Parts: sequence; C-alpha cells; structure tokens
Amino acid sequence: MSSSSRRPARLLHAAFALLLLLLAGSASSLLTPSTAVAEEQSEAKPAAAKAEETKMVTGFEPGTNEEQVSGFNLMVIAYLAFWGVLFVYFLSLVGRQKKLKGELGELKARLDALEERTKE
Amino acid sequence: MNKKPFPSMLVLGSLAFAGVLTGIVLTFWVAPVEGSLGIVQKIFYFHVPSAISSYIGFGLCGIASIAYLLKPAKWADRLAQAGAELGVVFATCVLITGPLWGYKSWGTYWEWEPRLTSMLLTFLIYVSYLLLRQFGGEGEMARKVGAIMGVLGLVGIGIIRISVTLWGGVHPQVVTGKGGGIHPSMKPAFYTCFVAFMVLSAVLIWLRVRIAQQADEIESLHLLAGDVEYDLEKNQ
Repeated sequence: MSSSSRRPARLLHAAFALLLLLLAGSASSLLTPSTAVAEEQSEAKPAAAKAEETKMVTGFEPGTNEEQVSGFNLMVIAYLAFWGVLFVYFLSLVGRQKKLKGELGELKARLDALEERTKE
Repeated sequence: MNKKPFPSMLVLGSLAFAGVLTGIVLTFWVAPVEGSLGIVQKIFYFHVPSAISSYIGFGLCGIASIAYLLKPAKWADRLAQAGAELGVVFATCVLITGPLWGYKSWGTYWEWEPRLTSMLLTFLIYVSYLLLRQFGGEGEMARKVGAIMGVLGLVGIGIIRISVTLWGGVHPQVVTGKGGGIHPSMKPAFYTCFVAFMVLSAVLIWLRVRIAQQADEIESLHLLAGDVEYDLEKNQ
C-alpha cells in the first residue's frame, strides 16, 4: 500500500486519538472536584464513624444497584459506547472504500489485458 | 470514476469534526452540571442530536423509498440505503445512551413506555430493511420489498413523535412539547452539538451514497468488459 493511501487512515487514527484525549481530559477535570469533595467529607467524619468503616467484614448484606452505579460511570460508559459505535461505522465505510479500490485495480488489469488482446 | 473526494466534502467533513470537538469542549467545560440529575445529564448533549440524526436518516430512507416506488431509480435506492444505515447507527447510539441516562433518573434501564417502545420498533424495522438489502439479493423484488419497509418505517417515526403527547409515558419532553426547556447556560453546548451532528449526518450520508455509486459504476464496467471479452472470443 502506498504512503498516500495510508494518509487518510493515519488522519483518522489521529482524529480518534484526539477525541479520546479530549474525553479523557474532560473526565479528569470532572473527577478532580468530586475527589476533593470526597476527601473533605472523609476528613470531616468523626473518628467513631471511621472506625466503624474499617471494621472487619463478617457477612454480606444485599444493597441496591442504584447506590453502586454512579452518574459519572454511566456517563463515561455512554460516551465510550457512543463514540465506539460511530467509530466502528466509520471504519466500515473506510473498509468498503478500500474494497472498492481493490476491485478498481482488478478492473484496470482486466481492461489492460483486453486492450492487449484487441491490439493483437 | 472520480477518485478524489469533492472539496466541499472535505470542507463539510472538517466542519463536522471541528463542530464535534467544540461540542465536547462546551459540554464538559462550559455547560454546568444539572441540578437534579447531576453529571449523567451530560449524555443529553449527544443523546438528543443523535435521536434527531436517526429521524433524519429514517426519514430520508422513507422519502427515497416512496420516490423509488413511484419511479424506480438507482439514486433513490442508494439514498434509501444510506438513510437507513445512518438512522440505524444513530438509533443504536440513542438506544444505548438513553437507558444509561434513564437508569439514573428512573432507577431502571428500560421502561416499556410509548416513546422507548416505538423507537425500538422503528429501529428494528430499519434493521430488517438493511438485512433484507444485504442478504436479499440485488433483484428488483428485494428493492421493492425494501422500499415498502422503508415507507412502513416512516409511520414508526410519526408514532415516535406523537407517542408522548398521545399516550404520556416517562420520557422527558425538555426541548419540545410542554417541557420546561433548557437553562440558557446549557444552550451553547446543546446547539453546537446539534449543528455538528447535522453536518456529520450529511457527511456520512454523502460518503455512503458515493460508495454505492462507485460500486455500481465498477459493476457496470465489469459487465462491459465481460461483453467485450465475449465479442473477442466470438471473433477469434
């Protein structure tokens, strides 16, 4: 494959990497304040409550899923799935274009052979 | 066959890319975190434009299918397929992001309520359309049955649109209907994402139609070459 034909694929990879970086940057900027708040809250907890938390686990109790899945996690999953679906579709379009390029090469070879035969 | 993409396509593609990047920046750095739902509401900025893009895709498929049924033409068939593909891709995004957002606001991933159910059914109609076109052969019958399915899907879009008004349900009506609207500080992010997705949809439709057009051209050239080969062999 020639370097000119690889250029769009490289550009596409670079664009996707940039998008991922942006999303990662967004995620980190959103995480920072919430982490700070969590730290503040943990410092403000009384010593008795902290001791309660560090108790050895002696049994498991069922909880609700709602408490476990944070809004942040849901948002990250949604964005990853969203860009994943779009990227896969874009790759399928690039793949189809490449296949056509291959078919075009075959057609050119067939036409060249025909031209030779006509000359004969 | 024209190998290089049209300059206007490159301009549109660059615009879509810049728009999406600006949309991400505005969504995460400018738009505030929503008061009651919290950070998960940021899904809204991509969920709603995706839904509108899917309606545009399905709508294009339906209209092109009507055109094909009235007067069979290759352009209408190509446009219908491109529209269905775009619609299915964006509807997949909607059906993934919606339940994740819904989990936080409703406490469940899925509710069999009018809008969600009608969206899922319309999505399945167009998935069936694409499966038929992929595996149903290239005959006129497959095209016509596909076109009928494309028109049937149009009814689905109408039902999605009026479902909340007619039958109620838990799906929020923020932007349209009797919803309270969005806060002015959230509007730049939302409208930027909206415009970016419209441009992105146009680019994807254009790309898909061009691929179908080039495939048709290559196929007709192969047929022509086959005829010439046949004539040569006959004359020898």
